[in-house]
Amino acid sequence: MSYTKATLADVTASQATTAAAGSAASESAQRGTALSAETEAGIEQVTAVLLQHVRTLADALRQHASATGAQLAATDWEGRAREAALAAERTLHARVDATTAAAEDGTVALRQALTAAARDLVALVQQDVAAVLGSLHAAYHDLAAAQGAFADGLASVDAAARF
Amino acid sequence: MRIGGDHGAIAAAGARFEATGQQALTAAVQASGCSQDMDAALTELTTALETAFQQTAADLSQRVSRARAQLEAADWTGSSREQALAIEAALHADVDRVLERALSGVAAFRASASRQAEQFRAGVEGELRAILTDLDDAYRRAGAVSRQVAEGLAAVDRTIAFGG
Repeated sequence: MSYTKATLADVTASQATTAAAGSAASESAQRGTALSAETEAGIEQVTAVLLQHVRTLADALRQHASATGAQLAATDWEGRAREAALAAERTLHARVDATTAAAEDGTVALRQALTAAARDLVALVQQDVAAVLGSLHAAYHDLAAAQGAFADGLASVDAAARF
Repeated sequence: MRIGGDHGAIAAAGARFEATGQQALTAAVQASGCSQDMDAALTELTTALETAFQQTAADLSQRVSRARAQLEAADWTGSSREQALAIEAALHADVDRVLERALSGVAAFRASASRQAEQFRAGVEGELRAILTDLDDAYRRAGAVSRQVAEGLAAVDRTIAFGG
């Protein structure tokens, strides 16, 4: 190895590089946390779309049942078929309410599952990034240390020559 | 059974019952635009992830190049320098692999999220359709009776008109 013009400042800068690799790991972790929050907001949007869809359908059903029930009432007739139809309408409202409530619970569970999957993905990528940063640190650390030792040697020679 | 009102109203009721809840539900499903909205939300979500991972990879690549450039600032040559260049190439390859794995992960996440959301949606729609089937059956029976009564009333009207 030949060394033509090293200064102590160069060596210091080289060593700072390896230190920077360590701080990069914490930056990466912070970025991962921000990304997780952003991802959760996105997942919230997905489940909100689903929930809105369920509510739209439930409203359509209630309106249909009410309109048909009103039509039935307007004919002013009695009998078992009419009673059965009216009873079915009453039941529909209760069942639609129950289905909507279950769907709301379902979207919470879905959101939790998707959030967990997204967090796992972000954590996995962070792990990979940390591994590369670790390799970077390890790989250049030895070279920087060698440079440092060599520059120290040069500095000693300079000092001895001046003396 | 007792029945009142004019036969036009009764016939209208019978016709109304033919417009079943299933049709109403199908129309509501089509009108809600859930699939498009879901797709847009998932695209926004996964694009944010991809962008973040690409940015991370770019930062990491810059950091690798900077680290090597910093070591080169001292203008040295020899096997250590070559070693540093080789390390840089290997680290860039590592970064590429990290990015590739991250983007594959995003694609898998999207596919899974889309599948789960569709299953959820299909499940809820199935439950609502089952409820409507019961309601439709009850209304269809009422509609059939209503139509028969209306037809009977119309026949009576025609008989009276003919006789008058």
